[in-house]
Amino acid sequence: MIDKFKAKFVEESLDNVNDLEEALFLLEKDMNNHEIIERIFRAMHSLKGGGAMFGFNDLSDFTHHLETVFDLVRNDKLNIDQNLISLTFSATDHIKHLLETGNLTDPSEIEELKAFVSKIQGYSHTSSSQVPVKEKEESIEEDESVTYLISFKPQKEILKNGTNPLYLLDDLNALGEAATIAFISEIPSLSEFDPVSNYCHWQILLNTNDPLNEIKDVFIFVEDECTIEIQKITNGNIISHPHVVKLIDEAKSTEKPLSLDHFSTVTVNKKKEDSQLESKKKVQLKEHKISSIRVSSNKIDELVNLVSELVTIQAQLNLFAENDGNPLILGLAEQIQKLSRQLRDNAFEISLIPLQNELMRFQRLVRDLSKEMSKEIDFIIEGGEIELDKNIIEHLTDPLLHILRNSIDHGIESAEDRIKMGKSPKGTIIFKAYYSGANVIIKVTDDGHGIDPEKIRHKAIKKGLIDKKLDLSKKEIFDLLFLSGFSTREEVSDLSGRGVGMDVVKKKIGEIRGEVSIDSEINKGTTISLVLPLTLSIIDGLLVKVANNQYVIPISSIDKIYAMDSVKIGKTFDQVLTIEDTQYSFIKMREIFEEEQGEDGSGQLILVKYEDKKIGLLVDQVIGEYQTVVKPLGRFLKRQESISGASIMGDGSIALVIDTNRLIHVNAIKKYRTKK
Amino acid sequence: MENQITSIISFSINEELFALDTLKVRHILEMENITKVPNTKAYFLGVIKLHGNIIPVVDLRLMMGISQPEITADTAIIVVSHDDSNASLIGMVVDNVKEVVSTEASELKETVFDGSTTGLIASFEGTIHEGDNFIHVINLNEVIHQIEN
Repeated sequence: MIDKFKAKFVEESLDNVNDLEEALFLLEKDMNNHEIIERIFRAMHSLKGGGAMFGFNDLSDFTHHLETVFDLVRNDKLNIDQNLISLTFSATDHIKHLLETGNLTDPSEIEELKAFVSKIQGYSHTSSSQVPVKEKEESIEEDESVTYLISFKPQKEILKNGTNPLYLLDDLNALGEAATIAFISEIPSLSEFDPVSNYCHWQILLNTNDPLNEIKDVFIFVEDECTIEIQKITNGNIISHPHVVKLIDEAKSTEKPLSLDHFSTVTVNKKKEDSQLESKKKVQLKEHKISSIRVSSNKIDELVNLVSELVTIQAQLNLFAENDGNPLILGLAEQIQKLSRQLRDNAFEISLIPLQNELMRFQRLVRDLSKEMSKEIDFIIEGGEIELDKNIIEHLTDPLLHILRNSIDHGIESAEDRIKMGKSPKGTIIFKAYYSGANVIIKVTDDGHGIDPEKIRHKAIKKGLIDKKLDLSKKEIFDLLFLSGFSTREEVSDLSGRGVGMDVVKKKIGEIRGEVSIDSEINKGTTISLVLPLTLSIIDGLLVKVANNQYVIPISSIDKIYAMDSVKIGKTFDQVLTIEDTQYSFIKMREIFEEEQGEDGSGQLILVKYEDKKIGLLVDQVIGEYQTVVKPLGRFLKRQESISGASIMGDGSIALVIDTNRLIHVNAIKKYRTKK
Repeated sequence: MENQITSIISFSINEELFALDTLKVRHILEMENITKVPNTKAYFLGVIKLHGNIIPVVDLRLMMGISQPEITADTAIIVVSHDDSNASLIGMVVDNVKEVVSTEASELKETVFDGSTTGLIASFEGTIHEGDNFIHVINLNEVIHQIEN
C-alpha cells in the first residue's frame, strides 16, 4: 500500500520537477516575473513536503536548501541571475536522481550532494549578507508585525486523507503569537459521532513578522480540502489588547465567529485605508475539477489490444452476416461495425500523447550543451502539439537527443567562426513537427557549417565502404552516414561520437517503422528529417497472394500496380523490367520467400517506393485493400526482418505484413554478397 | 535444479516419452492450419492465432531430428511460456499428448538419452521412471535458447 503511494508520489513529483524546469526556462527570459518565481517556489515546496511525508528525507533536505534561496528571491532579498538559474537547473537533475533512488547510500553520491548543497547555501549566505540598498527600505516595512484573522474550516473528510488539522494549528503558532478559537458546536451526540470525520473549525488570530505567503504555505497541502480565509486586521500586535482578549473570550463562549468588523474599534487609531485594502485579499479556494486522469500505460495497451480483437471479430461477424443474408443480422452487424470503428478510433486516440511532454528534455539539452560549449543557440520549436502513439514517442527520444547533440556539437560553429563566415554569432536550431498524410514528419534543422559530401565520399572510400569509381548522388552519399561505424569526426568528442552514430538513429527509427534522411548544404546547415507512422498498430494495406500465403503490403509504400502481361522483362538482365518506357529493377517474391517458381508472365507487379527509387515486387495476385490491425510476431521472429507483423483476417486466417523497405534492403544485401 | 518440478505433462515423439514442466504449459491445442513465415528455419512451422494474438509454432519433432513427421488426429500443439510472460508464448508440435504425472513420489534421475546425436534437443532436466515407461523431462530454457539462436 505504502509502495503504491510512494510510486504515485514519485510520479507526481516528476511532474513537479517538469513544471519547475518549465518555469526556469520562462524565468530565464523574464527574470523579474514574480508569478514565475512563485511557481518555482511552490513546486519546490511540494517536493520538500511530499519528500518528508514519504520518507524521501534526502530529497526533502535538499529541496529545503533550494527553497531557502528562492524564498530570499521571492522576498526581493536576492536577485536572480544566470548562475542561479544554471545552479537550479542542475539541482533539478539531483532531485530527479533522488526521486529515482530514494535516499542515497553510495558514499560518493552523498559527498557529491553535500558539495552541491554547500554551493546552494553559499548562495543564500553571501547574498543575504550583501542585501542591496533598495531592498533595505522595503524590509523595514516588512519587519513590522501584522495581525491576521484566519478562518480555517476543514471539510468533514479531511481526517481520511491523513491530515491532522491540529498540526496545522501548531504550524501557525510557530509563525508568531497566536490565539486560537475552536468552534465545536457541530460535534454530534456520541451515537451519531463518526470518529474519522471532522466536525470542528477554527479561527486564529495570528501576529507574525512573516509575509502572508508563509501563512498560505502552511495550508498548501490541504488547500483543496478546506475553506481558508486569511484577513489582515491591522499592522502591529493587538492580540494582548484588552478589547481583543474580551472579543476572543466572547467568541469562545458564544461560538460566534469573529469578523473584521469586531476589530474596527481596535484599529481606529491605525491607518484605516491600508488595512481595508488588504483585507479584501481573500484566499477563497475554488472548486477542484478533474479534467484528466492518470491511467497506467499497461491499461491502455490492454484496452487497445482488446479493441483490436473486437475489430477482428467484428470483421468475422460481417462475413457471416453477408453469407447468412438474414436482414436482422445484417443490420446488427452494421451497427456493431459502426460502434467498433468509433471505439477503435477513441482507443487509439487515448494512446496518443503530445510531443510537448518530451520537448522539455530537448530544450534542457540544448541549453546545457550550448552553455558547456559556449555556443549561443536559439532553439525554436514548432508543432509541439502534434500527437503521436506513446510507443513511438518512447522510441523517439533517444534518437532525437542524439540528433540534437550532433547539431550542437558538429553542426553549429563557434561564435568566432560564425562571424568570420558572415553569419550571426548566434546559431539556430529549428525543431519542426507536422502531419503529412498518415505520417508525422519531424525535421531538425541547424544553420551550422553543413556536411561536405566530398569529405564523406573520401572517407567512405578510405574505409573501403564504397568503390572509388562509384558515382553517387548527393543523397546516396549522405546515406553513407547511416552505415554502421561511420563517424564524420576524426576524434571522438565527449558528446556525440562514442562509437554510436547515425546508424543507431536509423535502426531505432526503423524499429518504429520510420525513416530518416539527411540533407545538407555546405555553410548553410543540415536538416535531418524523420518520417514516422501515426500509430504502430493499424495500417492500410494491400492484401496479396504469394504461393499459398497471404501478405499485407502497406498502402503508404505502394506507388502503382501493374498486370504482368503489360510489362516487358529484359531478356538478358531478368532482374530489370520495362514499364511505360521506364526501367525498374524488381524482386520475385516467390524467389525470396523460397517458394516454387510460378509461371512466367503471370501475376501482378506492385511498384513500391524505396528511398528515392521505385522497385517492383512480383506477387501472384492482388486480392484487395484492407485496413488491418498489426500484431507483433514476438521475440522469436525478431530476426525475420522483412516481416513486421501479422494480421488476423476476417475469415480467421493470418496474413503477414511485409516491411517493404526492409525486404528490399535485406534482399539488396543478399544479392551484393552473392555477387562478391 | 532451483525449482523442484512437482508435476509434468507427458507426450510422445516417435514412440518415445517426453515431458514438460506443467507450470510452463499454458494451452494444449489440436493441430491447426499454421501460416508459414518465409525465410525461417525448417523446424519453424510458422504462426497461429491464439486469443487474438499471434504466436509462433515450432515442430519439436523436427528439432529432434525426425524427418518428415506425420500429422495425425493425435498431433497436438503445446503452448508454453518459459519465463511466464505472454510475450514468450510459443507453440510446440508433438505426436501425442499423454497425461499429467505427479513427480513428487518418483525420483528424477539423470537422463542417459543423448539428443545431441540426432537433433537440437540435447538438454534434459532428468528422467522419471513411471510404470513401464521412462519419461525424459525436457529443459525448456535450453530449447528456447536454441530457437532464439
